[in-house]
Amino acid sequence: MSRRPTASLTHVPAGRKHAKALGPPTKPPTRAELYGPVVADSAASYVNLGITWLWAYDVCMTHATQISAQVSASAKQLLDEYSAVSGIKKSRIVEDALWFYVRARQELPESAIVPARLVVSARGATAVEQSLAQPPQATPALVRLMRTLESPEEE
Amino acid sequence: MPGPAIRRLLGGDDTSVFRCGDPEYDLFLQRYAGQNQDRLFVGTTYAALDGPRVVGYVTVAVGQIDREGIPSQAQGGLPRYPLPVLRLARLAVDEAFQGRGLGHRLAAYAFAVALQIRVAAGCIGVVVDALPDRVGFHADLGFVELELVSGHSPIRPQPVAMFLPLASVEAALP
Repeated sequence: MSRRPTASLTHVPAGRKHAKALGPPTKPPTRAELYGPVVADSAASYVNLGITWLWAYDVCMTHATQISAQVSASAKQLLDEYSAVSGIKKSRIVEDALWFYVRARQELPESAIVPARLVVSARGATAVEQSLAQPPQATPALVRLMRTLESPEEE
Repeated sequence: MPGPAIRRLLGGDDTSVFRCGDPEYDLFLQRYAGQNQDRLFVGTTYAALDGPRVVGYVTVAVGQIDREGIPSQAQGGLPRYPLPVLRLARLAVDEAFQGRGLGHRLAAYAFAVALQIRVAAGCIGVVVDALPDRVGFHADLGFVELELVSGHSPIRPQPVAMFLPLASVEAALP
């Protein structure tokens, strides 16, 4: 005999008046209903990182929260652009990225991870700028090294 | 081309007997290089093979140079957006194959990968994490030291980040 599952675990964050504790599935409340107006101070690159939904059949567990974080302007720009291009909500991008990041850090030791972002000092920026503006001529050592070249295989 | 062939690391390659003289580099190849490449997609390793056995490798990862926090007047003529680079993170050769130019071939291969990426997705240069005793070698190739605020390599002893524009690499092509 089949038995209809009932809600057994519900987390209702304090102050979440619209979160349903128990009962049949209903349409999830909107973000505005849940959180009210969200204030974003774009001038300070203050990003309101969105909400997360866990919506299970017949277990009406509203488990969403909001985080805010000071991030670099370039990170915010990357988030905005990727969201606009992919159509994926920023909250989803942030959550997925966090899961990937934590998983990678759990599976790899620190020494195995190569930081992708190199932030240079003013002196470092000058060195790059000069190298790009006037690329140094190929040194004899570089010419000798490149003579050993095999073309990377097309994959 | 004489010597071990170079190609992307594959799951069936034998890394078990690789010994370069630095256990950390051996461990990276044996335990993490494949995982890094095929599961997490955070770096690619190109292996030099003697039969099924890996006798040398170079690991590269895409990265970017950023000038976050530098006053605009100190940024010179650099564009404001991050600059894509290829980071040559690790290069090691098995002790039995050292002194035969295999390290040079692996480095040249990585530079050629950077040239391909430049066409496919954009790349302005190569950043190498040079161990302190190899700084002179890379300076001879034309690399300049890159003073970093963050993004240092986790390898110890801490390497020196050095930069070479791809225009120089292209000029050195045979």
